[in-house]
Amino acid sequence: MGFLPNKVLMSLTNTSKTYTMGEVKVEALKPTSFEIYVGELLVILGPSGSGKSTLLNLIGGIDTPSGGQIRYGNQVLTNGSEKDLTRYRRQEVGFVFQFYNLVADLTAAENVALAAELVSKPLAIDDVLRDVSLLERRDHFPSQLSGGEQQRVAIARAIVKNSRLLLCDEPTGALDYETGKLVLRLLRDIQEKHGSTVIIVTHNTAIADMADRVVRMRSGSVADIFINDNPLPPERIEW
Amino acid sequence: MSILTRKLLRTIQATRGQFLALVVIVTLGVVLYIGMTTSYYNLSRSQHQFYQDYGFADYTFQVVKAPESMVARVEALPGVVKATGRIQKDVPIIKEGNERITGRLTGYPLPMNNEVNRLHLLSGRQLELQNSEKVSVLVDPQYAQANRLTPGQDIELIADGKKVTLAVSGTATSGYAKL
Repeated sequence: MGFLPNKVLMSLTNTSKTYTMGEVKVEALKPTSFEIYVGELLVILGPSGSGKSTLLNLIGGIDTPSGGQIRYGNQVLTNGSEKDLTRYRRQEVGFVFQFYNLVADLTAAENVALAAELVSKPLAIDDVLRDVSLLERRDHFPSQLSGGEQQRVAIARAIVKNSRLLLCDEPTGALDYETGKLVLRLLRDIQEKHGSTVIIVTHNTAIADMADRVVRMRSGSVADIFINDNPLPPERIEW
Repeated sequence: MSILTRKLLRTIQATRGQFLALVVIVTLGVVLYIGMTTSYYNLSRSQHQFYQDYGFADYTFQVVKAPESMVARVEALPGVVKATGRIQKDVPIIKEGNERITGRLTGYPLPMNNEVNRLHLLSGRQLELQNSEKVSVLVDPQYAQANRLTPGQDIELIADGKKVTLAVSGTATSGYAKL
């Protein structure tokens, strides 16, 4: 049995983004409307240049749309000030990037603690590190960790804030096949354990097989959205 | 200690040399800046003080001929605190062996008292009203040194076609060198 859409966490209404480069206007995202539900694992799929990272940046409050509206719960993000947007990023969103973006001079535990300092009710650092199976490596610096381990620290850093939304931009992009699958397993576990909404942006079509819902992007617009009736466990997906 | 402070300390430790160089450069920069600024203000203050003490003129006008009453009329203008009139003339000075050079004579109204561009007396006596035949003169210290002039000695010069003898009263300098 697949995912049953229930409560809406976020909704985009005719949201668009246009970048101006000198004289040229690039429409990175054409007017787009869809909902994101509480507790789902959503995969945004598309080739490079399809607008998927633009979409993720808008959802994460890193960027503001040129047109349309983004609503998060009762809050309209597009009406808020820069300060409101910062508060939203700080309290509601955890980010996982393709190249981890860990602070090199801080240990795994300190990297996680740095994010924990941003919110009032973070999870316990050691619990989170245990969740990503890195408790025994808590005092290692990023340079002493493998790519997969670094990405797990990055995930720990994103979830320690106990935020409702976890945004992952190509989280397996820099990892080998096996490690990539471990990271995907971890994301699924977090979604199930904490009930958080996980959004994975990727160009890897295989990852769509584990999603509850898939948003397929093409040339700056949503080509289709479909519910995956039989999401596969991450161990069983192949690419 | 916050995590960011810990990060900062570790970064400093990892780049000790650069950090030290930076500290030295910044310190030198601050020291130089403070030193030069202080000197500038001190010099500027001394200059203003000197100009004030010696009543340095804000404006100087040269006229070919003007009655003495002109000074009072200028002084009466709004905004003018003080005006002093002087007569200036370039004259031949006769030296030993009939050698002639040109000197600049500047007349001062006596008694010398609170006039504009006051003289700073270096040696000898200030000019005074006197009934002597000879007119007293204060000479430039460099001229006095070059010609070994001391107070009490005479200078001979030609003024209006007549030989005139002036008695050296001392040496003096002015903030405004030519007046």
